[in-house]
Amino acid sequence: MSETLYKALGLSKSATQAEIKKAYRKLMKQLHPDLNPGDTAGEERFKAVTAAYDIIGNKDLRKRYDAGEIDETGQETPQKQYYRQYADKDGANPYANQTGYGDMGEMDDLFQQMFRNRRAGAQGAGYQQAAYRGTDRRYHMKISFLDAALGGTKQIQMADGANLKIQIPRGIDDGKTIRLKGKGEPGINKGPAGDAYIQVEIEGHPVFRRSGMDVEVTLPITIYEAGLGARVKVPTLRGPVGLKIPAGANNGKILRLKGRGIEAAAGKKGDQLVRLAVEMPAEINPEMAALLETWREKHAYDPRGEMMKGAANV
Amino acid sequence: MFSERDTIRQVPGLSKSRLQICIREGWVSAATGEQGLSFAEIDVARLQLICTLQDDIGVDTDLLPTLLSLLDQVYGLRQDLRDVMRAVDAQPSDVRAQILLHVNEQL
Repeated sequence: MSETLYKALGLSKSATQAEIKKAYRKLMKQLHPDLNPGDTAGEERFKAVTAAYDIIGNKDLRKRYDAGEIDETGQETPQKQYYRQYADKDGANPYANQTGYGDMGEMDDLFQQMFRNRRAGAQGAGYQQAAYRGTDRRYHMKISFLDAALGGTKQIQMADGANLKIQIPRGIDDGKTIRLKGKGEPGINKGPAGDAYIQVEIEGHPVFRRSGMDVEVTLPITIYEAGLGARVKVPTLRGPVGLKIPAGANNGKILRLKGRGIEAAAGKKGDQLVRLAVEMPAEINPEMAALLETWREKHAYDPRGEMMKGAANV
Repeated sequence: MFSERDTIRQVPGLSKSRLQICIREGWVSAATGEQGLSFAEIDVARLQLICTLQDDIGVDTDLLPTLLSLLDQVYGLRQDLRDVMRAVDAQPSDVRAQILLHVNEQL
């Protein structure tokens, strides 16, 4: 029988349930990673404390742990997600408050210049009395794969019922935010209007998949195209193009179509990656079977030899 | 992105009325989606933090806005600090050394 979990909370096995809870709360206050961003040692400690409390904080589980029926890890617990993982992402935290440099005297100018672009309009409330900048509005919008890849326009209805036409920048990635200056709530007492932030979610596509700036497709080919080589048509974002399949191309081989991927506004171009998938004919008829049998007589080969050796060596 | 219902399902201890309080009090800002309210991952994580703070840590409701505001300032400062550090890091080594020297003198 182990006392590891009790030690994690700084207790002994004889602790009452109330004492366990009290110790847990106290440690949570000290160690919660969202309250101590960047403290990795504290975070490890916090994980141990939480894991311990998940078991001995629960009367039934504690009984089973004391009886040795379950170990320190107990059962599968759902992966906990922490606020700080999102709050500390660059530029992705709409709650982050970065307006508090007004009291830094001569440094204030430097800070204002440094962060001016990010925070245009956020300052000034203290100087012009009671002129407040309007609140920002946030929107979520689903856009199609092709609109995201090639650019396009979309309308969304705003909170006040008005329609807002949005230019989708070409090549925008999933989860990115479009900022529309001055499209938030109106300002108060001649203060500037807030901004609208539109976060986009890109829908899947039955043919194309995206990997950064590259686009991936899986291209089914016949066994004779794979064996003898061929010129075939491949769908791309901007219509079908010709592709040469080399003779003897294997299943899973990836061919690259340069510059046929996503094209960002800045002019950078991704590629299209074509993954070959050899497809057997729907039916193996006697003619095909005879062909393969004759061929096997003379040219049998073993594609699994290396694999079996590799597996046995470990 | 999560709908209102998915968000409530995702966060232990969150109910519809509690979510409404969080929005009304401005602790969490919901976005407008194509079908009603919509929440990003950071919103869901923030709601989870709020529930943890109240239920597990025992933070008083009166204290919560102050705590959230301080946290938002901390994360805002961290963002600014990261940006400044990156800018410093991009400087030639003699400039970096100058800056380092200057920071140490302040201590």
